[in-house]
Amino acid sequence: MTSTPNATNWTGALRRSAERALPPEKLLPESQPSYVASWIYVFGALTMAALGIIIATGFVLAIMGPTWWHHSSTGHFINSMHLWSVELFFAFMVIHLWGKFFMAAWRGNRVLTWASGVVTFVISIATAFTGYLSQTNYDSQWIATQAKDGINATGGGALFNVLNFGQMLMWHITLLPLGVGILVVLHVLLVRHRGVVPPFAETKDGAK
Amino acid sequence: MRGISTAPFRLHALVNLNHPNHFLQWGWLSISRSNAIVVGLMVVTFMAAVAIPFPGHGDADQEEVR
Repeated sequence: MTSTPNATNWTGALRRSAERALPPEKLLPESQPSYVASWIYVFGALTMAALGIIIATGFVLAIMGPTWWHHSSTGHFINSMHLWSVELFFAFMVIHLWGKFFMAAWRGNRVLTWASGVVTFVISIATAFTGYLSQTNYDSQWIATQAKDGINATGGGALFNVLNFGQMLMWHITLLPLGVGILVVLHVLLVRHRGVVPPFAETKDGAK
Repeated sequence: MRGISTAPFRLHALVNLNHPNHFLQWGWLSISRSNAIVVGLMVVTFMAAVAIPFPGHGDADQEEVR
């Protein structure tokens, strides 16, 4: 069967729409405008690099389990890498956020790019908090009992029970990372679609 | 299960952490000293990222290969 350009099925329409929004040279560009040659534009990529380490070490922790990460040297090492890559992830992401805030990165029809970044930041915080609850030590028990009062005050204690270890672990290793992953992919695709936001001086000269 | 021993590389913490946290207080704002140091380092990194020229920056070409 041959396909015609005017076919009305949804797969063809979706493909044509995706090709219009993100042609291959826009999706995987070989060059960027000269204003991107600044250290402040590096922090988005650094955030994703840290996220890559978080996911990789998280996979290892999930495979090996709590006894291993509490009682073996390699387990301590991977557990520490998971923690410190999260610390760097948030530091890089906040510096990225500061940079984009001060250059008003929502200019030029980029409001969805900005908004997807903000939502990713909020979901990342929830992911990190449920990570504290998933340590399986006295620290996580203490944090869970302290967080219980806060969550109960919002009325969400029955739905999102921080004392329910199984529920918190599932949120931490499935739902929330999936949310962060999907939003990061969407965020990067939006950056590719709209382009990297130029500094103010460039927009005065006509760049968008 | 045996892992790789890190015993030869273990060092004491460079800073003694075996004490209650110190807090800095400015009116309504209360922040632990360690968190204040981290925030300060992030601000310094941000300012350095804005101020320090990127290698190769200043080329006349409008398009620059990354």
